[in-house]
Amino acid sequence: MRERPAIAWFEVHAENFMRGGLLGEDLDRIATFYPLSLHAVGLSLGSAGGVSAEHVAALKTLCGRYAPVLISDHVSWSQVGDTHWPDLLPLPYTEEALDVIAANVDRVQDAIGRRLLLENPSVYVTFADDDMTEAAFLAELVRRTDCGVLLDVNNIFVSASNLGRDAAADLRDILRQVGPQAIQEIHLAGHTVSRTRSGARIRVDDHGSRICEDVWNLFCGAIAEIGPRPTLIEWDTNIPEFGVLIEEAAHADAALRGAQVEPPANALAR
Amino acid sequence: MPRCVERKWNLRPMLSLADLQMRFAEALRTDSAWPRRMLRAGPCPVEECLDIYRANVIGAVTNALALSHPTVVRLVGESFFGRLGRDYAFDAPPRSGCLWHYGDGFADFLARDARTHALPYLADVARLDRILDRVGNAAPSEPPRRFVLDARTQLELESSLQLLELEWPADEIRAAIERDEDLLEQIDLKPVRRTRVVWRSASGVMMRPLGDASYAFLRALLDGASVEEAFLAAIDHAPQAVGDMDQEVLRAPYARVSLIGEAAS
Repeated sequence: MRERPAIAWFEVHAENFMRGGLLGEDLDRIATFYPLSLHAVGLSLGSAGGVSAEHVAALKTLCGRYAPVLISDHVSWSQVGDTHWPDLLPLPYTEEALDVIAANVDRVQDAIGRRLLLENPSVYVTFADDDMTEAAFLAELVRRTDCGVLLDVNNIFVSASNLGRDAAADLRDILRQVGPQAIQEIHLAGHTVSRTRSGARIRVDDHGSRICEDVWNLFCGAIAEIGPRPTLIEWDTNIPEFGVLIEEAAHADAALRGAQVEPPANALAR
Repeated sequence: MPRCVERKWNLRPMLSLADLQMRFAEALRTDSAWPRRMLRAGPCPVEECLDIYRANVIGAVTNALALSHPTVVRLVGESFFGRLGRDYAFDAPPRSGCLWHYGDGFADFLARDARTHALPYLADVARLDRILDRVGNAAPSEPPRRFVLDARTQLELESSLQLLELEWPADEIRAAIERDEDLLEQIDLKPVRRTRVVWRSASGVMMRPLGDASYAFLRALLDGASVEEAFLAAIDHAPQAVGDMDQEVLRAPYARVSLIGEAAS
């Protein structure tokens, strides 16, 4: 913060700041100089048991304190019964799951008085009983709840690669079905390519390395079609020197400079 | 028995979302096989895809525990800590999406775990790590806790104040780990009851030893007793040490005697 790097905005995991304390004081300093985006990972919007009133209240308190320009969570679930499995577990793309997540998104949006952005997660499996594609699921969720979409380009690439699909086709499908208006933020991140016990190749979304060329290409394709959007470099494991993050952000900025960049505040109104 | 719903077009029974999520979570927890026909994957077998989710869960839990138990990590090493974290995750999984709630039972888990019996002080180190983390991350703007002394005066205690009872010199171990691990050799590893008060001040997390009377007094107050009841508890536990309470409590930096209704300075 002493050097005030030329960064347009910062994004933090909301849950890390729900208890205040020393971390909260650090965030106060960042929020003094930069717009903030709150990216939740614990609302568990896809849980059949609903969302935690306590968690929603804590998010509302944070929103009141920091007036974030964007607020987001994922199309996934973590909570079942009284147990929270801290990962973005996959939802089946079914009518029932759509009803559940739409009701949960409505509840959160009503409570915080703001629009949520829903992020497409990386998935490693899909469900045999899926009724629809991820793109159709996202589009219908937007239609029902007026939420926005946080388009994670790396997740599209990771999911498609792991499921043996064409990432560019999946991206085109999402852009076409969801529509450019709903997409209000983009995430970029690195991932790891590893081998499983049987020797199969798998891409793991770990946010711990530079963004790969394939993901940059998908990103350029996306913004060429929908225009520039507030774009975040997610890097939260194996965290490098800050300069490396700045380089990745500059790379994204260079790609975005072809058009007028809308500030994230434009996504505020619900 | 799982509830089933029927799909409109093929009448093939499928799990409800609630049951599917329960089954999925159970498969993560127990390594149990997931019915293959219910999941699809790409080139990687379904079971190995589930391994990714399982590893993510274990990694998140272990990371949360490591952040709040840094001395334990240093003592046992990251690899062994990871195995402890995995077993704790499945023994006592998180209850909420705020993982800073998580780990209150980790010290007791370590005390029970046979693998750590060669390190009898480890559970106390975990208790100390945990409480320092909690106090350090306590909400800074909470009003002090107030206890009526008489009609005009009250005792105010820092809202972040926590008490700790240890058998082993966990604070010396933590200090040695932070400054110079060679100092570990010089620590007298003798089990003796030690009581500490921990609070957060403007300059950071503070910790001081407490005498038995002061500990009993504060413990009773924090457990809901009146000042009079707390004082009786102190006399009951350590009558010879009641005189220390003036310095250890009433004049301590975490406490303040004020007039009732007086604004805090």
